[in-house]
Amino acid sequence: MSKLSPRKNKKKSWLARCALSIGLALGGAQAMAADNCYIMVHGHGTQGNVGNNALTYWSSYNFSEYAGSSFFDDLLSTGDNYAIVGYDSTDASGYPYWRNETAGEIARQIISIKQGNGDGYNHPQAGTQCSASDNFWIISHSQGAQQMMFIAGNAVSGSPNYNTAYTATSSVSVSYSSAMNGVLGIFALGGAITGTEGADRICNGNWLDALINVAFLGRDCNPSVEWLQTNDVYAARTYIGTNLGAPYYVLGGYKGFPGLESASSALISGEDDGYINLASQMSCAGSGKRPIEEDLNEYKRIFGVSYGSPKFRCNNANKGTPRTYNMASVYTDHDAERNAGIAGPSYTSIENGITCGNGQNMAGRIGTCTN
Amino acid sequence: MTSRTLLIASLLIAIVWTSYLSLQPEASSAPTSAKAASPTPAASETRAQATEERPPLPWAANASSPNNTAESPTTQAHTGMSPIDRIRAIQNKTALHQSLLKDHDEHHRYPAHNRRFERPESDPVLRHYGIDQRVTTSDDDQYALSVASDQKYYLPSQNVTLLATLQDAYGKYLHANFAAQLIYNEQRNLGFIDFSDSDQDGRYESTFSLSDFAGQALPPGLYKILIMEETSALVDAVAFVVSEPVIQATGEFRESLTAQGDLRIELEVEVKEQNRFYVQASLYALGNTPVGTTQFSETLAAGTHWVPLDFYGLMIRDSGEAGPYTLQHLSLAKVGVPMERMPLSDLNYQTQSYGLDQFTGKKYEEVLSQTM
Repeated sequence: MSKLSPRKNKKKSWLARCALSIGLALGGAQAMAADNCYIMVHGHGTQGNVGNNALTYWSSYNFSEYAGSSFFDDLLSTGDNYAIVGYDSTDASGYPYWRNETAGEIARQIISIKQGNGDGYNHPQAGTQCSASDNFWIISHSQGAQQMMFIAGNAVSGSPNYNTAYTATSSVSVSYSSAMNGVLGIFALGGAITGTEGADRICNGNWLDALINVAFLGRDCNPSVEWLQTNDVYAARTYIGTNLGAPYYVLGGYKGFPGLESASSALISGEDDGYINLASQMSCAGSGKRPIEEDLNEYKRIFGVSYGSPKFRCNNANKGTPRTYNMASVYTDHDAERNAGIAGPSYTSIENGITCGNGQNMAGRIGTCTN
Repeated sequence: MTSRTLLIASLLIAIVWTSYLSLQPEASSAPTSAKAASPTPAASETRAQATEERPPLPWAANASSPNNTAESPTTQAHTGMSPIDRIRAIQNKTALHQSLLKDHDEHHRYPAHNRRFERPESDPVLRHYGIDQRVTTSDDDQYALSVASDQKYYLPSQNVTLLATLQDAYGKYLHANFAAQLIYNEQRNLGFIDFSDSDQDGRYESTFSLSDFAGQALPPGLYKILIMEETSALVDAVAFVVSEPVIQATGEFRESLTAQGDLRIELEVEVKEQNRFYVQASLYALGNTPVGTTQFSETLAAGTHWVPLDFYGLMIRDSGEAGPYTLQHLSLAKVGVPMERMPLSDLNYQTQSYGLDQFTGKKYEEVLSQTM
């Protein structure tokens, strides 16, 4: 379903800020003393270290149905701020999630943003730069979620890659612990937490899967794609410790792409958002291509029909990563996750799900739940 | 599914994924000015031209910040209240706020290097060694290809055993024709692998030696085996790591109850060459009741070392079981890319007897606040 209703406009006004200040002066709830700051970490295929690419990522679209939508329209309420993190996630550069150019760069920018330095972008929404006294949340999409898992999972003393990122030839020190300090929560939207079967097809197609190989002419299994495969040895969870530096909330999409491109879902195991297996988005234990359904359960199947009791439940106790929590399973595709192009998607009740914002898209849910 | 259908579907998928893997900067961008009121940019927010690389930003000078800059996980220097206390002060909390507070209380009950788990099958140490069973189903659900290796981490002296099956929609094992190829570090083809089903049960196996594959010893690194089944045209891959055996436990332990009321078990390890290493171990009470895990990571030089494995007193108390305890599972790993885990060790080291009241009953957060 495409978004047809008029866009909400919840941007803060000067008047609202004054009203808020007066409320505080009169002894309003102390928690309101800080604004929310949403730190935005984009996904794969963006040269986020150049120009406005990282900023426009959150309103870009691959399907015309979503033209004119912006994640921030549905995220921001009065008093909310945001900050853009930009890094190079292009195939041309081919940096995996554990590189200094990806995880390291993201962590450094988070630290700077938390220090109140701003993000260096000209926000279309006035007065939305974060300050050092804000409440910090991190919102990551797609490959950004994989990187955030690596950062959070190595922000705790005793973790294997504690405060460490990698260059082509060595390791460097990056203070993930500082980046995670004071962060209230990390949201993963359509996260490639344990990869995507799409990457499997690219990297495994070089030999016998000739049709795919021809179609991907010019696209090779570069390291950034290689480390998005769903085999466990590539997964970020293999490179982190037994704890995270901040709680990690997963929001999964289970709608195929619009139009002909919906065919992509046919070649991804279980439910998916057109690009990433739902099991990976929800960081379920076991294979990243585990065929879970939109209720996050896996059933026995015969000729495509599920039956009986779940043989696996991807609840909070069955996550493949620590400190990871179900938030929502939403009827949204991978494109609309980041541009909020579907206004009021349906959703499925899931075990341990968080109900605030039910009926809204991922941006709206986060906005509602954090305010 | 007919080959024509497969061809069409595959091409469509390829187009979608190709476009996604090259999302930006080519992807169209919504005209943000149409959505916002085009405010006058503040001087501090001025950006560079979109076609140019952005000027150095504040964090650029911080490229190699030292490790020891971590602040307290619950405090923020520039405000009176910690972020979590601000959430606690909200009167009308959302479900997310409540979840955050619950997480915070659980997470700060013990030091971050400790983690409690309730069931043996949830043991984080064991989970790293679980078989990566992979199932690929045809889009009409007529076939299911299952592939796995018997381990994810091997030493160069070990054998690799692969299992592959093809099942129909009812779960019945089918006669299959498998072809497989071994690839090193995603780049170098090392040769082909044959599968056989000697007992005709539909479960195809293949075993080969890492020390002698086509006449060569395979070096440490990341390996993949591409497996295709001809009847179903399904393809999948098994991936595993060959680890260099540069660290091992000597079998010597030391144990003490610390002055703070925690259990410390020291494990002696022998290191063959300097590297960063990761040590993970899980503790159980009698009756296989889980207590929790601990982790340790440091750079160790060649030689023998005592590695401290610390178990927080309250985590032991929370198990509800008095000692003796068993240091059950141990994972040693050479840190790097790929992560080279040594084979899982079942230590079965049993501690002395302890009463629960010998361990601290204080939450770690309380201890931290008293020392700050």
